[in-house]
Amino acid sequence: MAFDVTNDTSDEDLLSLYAEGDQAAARALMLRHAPRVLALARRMLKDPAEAEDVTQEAMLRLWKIAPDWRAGEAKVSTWLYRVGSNLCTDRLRKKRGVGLDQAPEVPDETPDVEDRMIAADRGRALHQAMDRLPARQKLALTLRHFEEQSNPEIAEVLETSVEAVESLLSRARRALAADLSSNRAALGLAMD
Amino acid sequence: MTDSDNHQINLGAFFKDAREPVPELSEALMTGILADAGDVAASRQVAAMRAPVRRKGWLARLMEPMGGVQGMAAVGICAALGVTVGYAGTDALQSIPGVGDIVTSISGDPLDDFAYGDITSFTDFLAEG
Repeated sequence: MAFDVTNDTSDEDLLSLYAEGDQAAARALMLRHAPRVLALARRMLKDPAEAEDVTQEAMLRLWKIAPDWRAGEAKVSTWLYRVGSNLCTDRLRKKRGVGLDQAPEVPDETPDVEDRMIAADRGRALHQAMDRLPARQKLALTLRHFEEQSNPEIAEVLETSVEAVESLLSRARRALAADLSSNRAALGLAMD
Repeated sequence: MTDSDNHQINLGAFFKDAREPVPELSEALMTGILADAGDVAASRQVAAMRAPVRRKGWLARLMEPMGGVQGMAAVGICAALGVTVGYAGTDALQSIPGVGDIVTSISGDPLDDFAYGDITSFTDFLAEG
């Protein structure tokens, strides 16, 4: 049976077909979901090779859990985001060597304002500012603004309440705005 | 997002500028992911083939020709009943409502009422030859 990303077969059905040995279903699931996991991992890790590793690992975990998948308990996309974000968080934690919760909200290693004036556009400035956020805030912002996930979906990924997500996003936006605002001049006031 | 939220900075514009198209999967990554999918499926099949068929215990195998557990239970109940009746005797059974009448009707010498011509009892019959 041939599948493509656009066909109507649900994720759960594809997963069930894969569990029965259908490799075409695995391909369809990969084409449907792996790019989003890769995008998330790239934004979180800033390392294309590591992002690919995370994507492959997340998909591997999906293949392993396929026979035991409980229909209706979680969306495949949400589950993959959760696994992907946990893998990213683990890698970031290893890199930093400290607990992410203890990471400072705004570290002192602000890039030189002059460099930013020259090199950064608004997108890059935003990425730099996001990199200075605690990983959980960065993840919430990434899921909300780049992956266009709803707050309930983000809550599922982060395994927390919707209220906690709203609070997390609010703090993240405040920190981001404060960071960008402090460099308003450096950004050539390229902000509305 | 309100102005107060973003401190007069339009974060939405920043996010818009920072947005990138969904990346395409490299050939290597796709190959790796599909190879994993194949490996997991294959190992699952092997595991299913290797999984030992659960064998019945020796007691179950022993009881199987005699009707299994149910058959043996029935035999056990009958045996226990037989032993009980054997020890208690028919007198004890007469105290059981309903059973007493049956016991009475079948007890005594069935040849007591024997009559054939002059021979009025089985003992006479034996004496006559």
